Amino acid sequence: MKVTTGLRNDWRVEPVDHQTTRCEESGDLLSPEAREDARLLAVVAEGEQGGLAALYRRRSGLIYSLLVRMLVNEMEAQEVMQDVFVTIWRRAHQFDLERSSPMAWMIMIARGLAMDRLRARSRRKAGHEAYEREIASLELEIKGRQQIDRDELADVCASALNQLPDEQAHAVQLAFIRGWTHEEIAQATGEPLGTIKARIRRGLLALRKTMKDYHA
Amino acid sequence: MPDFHSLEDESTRYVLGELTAAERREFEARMAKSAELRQMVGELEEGGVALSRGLPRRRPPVEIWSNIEKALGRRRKPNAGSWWQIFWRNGWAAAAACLLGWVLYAIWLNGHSNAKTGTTVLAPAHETVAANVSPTERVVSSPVMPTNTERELLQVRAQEISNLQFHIATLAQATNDLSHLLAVTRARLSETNRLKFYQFSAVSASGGDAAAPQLSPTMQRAVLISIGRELGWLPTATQSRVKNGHVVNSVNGIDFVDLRPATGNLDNQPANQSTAQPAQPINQPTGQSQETQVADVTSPSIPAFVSGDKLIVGLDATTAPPNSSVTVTVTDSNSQPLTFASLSMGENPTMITLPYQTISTSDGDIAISISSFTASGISNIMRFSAPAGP
Repeated sequence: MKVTTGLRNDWRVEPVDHQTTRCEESGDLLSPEAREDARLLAVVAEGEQGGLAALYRRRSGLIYSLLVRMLVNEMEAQEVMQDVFVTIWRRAHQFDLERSSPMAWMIMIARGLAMDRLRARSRRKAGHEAYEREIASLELEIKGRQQIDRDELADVCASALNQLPDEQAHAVQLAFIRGWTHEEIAQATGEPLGTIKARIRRGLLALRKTMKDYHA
Repeated sequence: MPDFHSLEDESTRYVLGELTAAERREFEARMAKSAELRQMVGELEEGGVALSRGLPRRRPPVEIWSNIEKALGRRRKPNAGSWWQIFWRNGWAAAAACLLGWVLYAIWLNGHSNAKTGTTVLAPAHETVAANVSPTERVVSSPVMPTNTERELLQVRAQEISNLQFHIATLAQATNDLSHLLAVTRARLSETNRLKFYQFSAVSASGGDAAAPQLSPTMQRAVLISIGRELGWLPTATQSRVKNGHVVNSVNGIDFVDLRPATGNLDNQPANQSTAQPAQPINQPTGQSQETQVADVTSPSIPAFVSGDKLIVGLDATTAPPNSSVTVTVTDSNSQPLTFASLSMGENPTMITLPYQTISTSDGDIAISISSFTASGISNIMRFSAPAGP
């Protein structure tokens, strides 16, 4: 199902009906907000800058939070944030609802650009001490920051992350947010590679299930 | 064929960006054919979304969006692909196909005709097509392809002409602005209460103007103090003494001598060169021949400035040695030489005041000759000139 056809050129946010649509590959039901994101992406694909502005208003907080979390450096996060939305502008016509949800598509763009920055930094020593430091900093950030602009779903997801076993939560965050490879985590923790792979995969799927249940 | 666990592993690595570029391309090719792979990847990506949603929320600074807008302003709209969609959707493709078919048909007809007559056509395409009609028709008919190319060419030419007209208008405006600025500057220079500065250069033997050397520090100081006196920042009278019939004011080691007739010094009265004799050099030995030389290009320059009706000229040891007798000769506004009475140079730099209105020509050009006579009988005549206005 391509959403780039049959959509109005008008970028303004229209009231959406609350019927859900299925994103075929992930098997998830598309929420009304995801449908609106998809509609706006289609508007952006038509070259309407207003569509991007609307998308920015809706999703900049979430994407920026991820970038700050990944890069730690706010200045760098702001630069990447700009690149993310320019990339969305350029690639909006490539978005395919059959392949992924709008949020997943945008998050993966943001993560990819942030990963480029992380890789450009000097190669870290993925030892046990570095692992401990990273874990400590991840926990510090969660406790130290004031929670703003949170919605119910955000709380549900945060709660799901907190309910994961510590090893699993750490592995998922290090892999997804800090860009550690499976091998690096295995080396730092001294655990078998297969265990780390399973932890990361199961952690991601558990989080996904929480969100799916919420929408259901 | 990879087993399920291997696919899971690959999917996870793909989502986390751990595959190499080649592995990624290969994986995406397989994913395009496999719904199962797409589903695995989709589920993991949604896990990443959930993780992102659960992170502490931060609000981006407001300037990020304005930067994005600026960045977008430098880019074209992204829907390069949709042009083709519009093209196909609106039936332009069918029209283009018809036009292409018609052109090919016309070319084929022309080739067929040439084959019959055995002629070889080496002509542009539109003439090739036109060759198929009768001579009479060829005269009156327009080229078969007045074509988009020609139309585009005309548009390009029109745009170029428009751009050139714009540049011409811009240059005309710039010329007007410069003319206005020049007129204003000239008007300002003619104001009596405005200082004008000169650097008199020695006239070389070949008649050309020599490059003005830099003033000595003492002369620079003398000029600055003199300017201060003219502007009322410094007292005008301190130590006064009469020397060779001139009132010499000494301020901070600088001698000021006013040679204007209005000052009341009889010796200061200018005289026409034809009637007035040059002032006698001081202590000039009788019967000793004078050695006269014209300054060459290495001779010093003379700083001067105009303040109201006064031309104030600076002399120092580089122009006239101490204890020499200096005679100043200028060309008046009627191109007649005027000689001012001589004065005796001391050790100090000396600022001489001359009547500007009398000695400047209508163009503002000024020429001054400085003759210095030393006790050894050597005279040095240097001619300086400066064009109108600085």
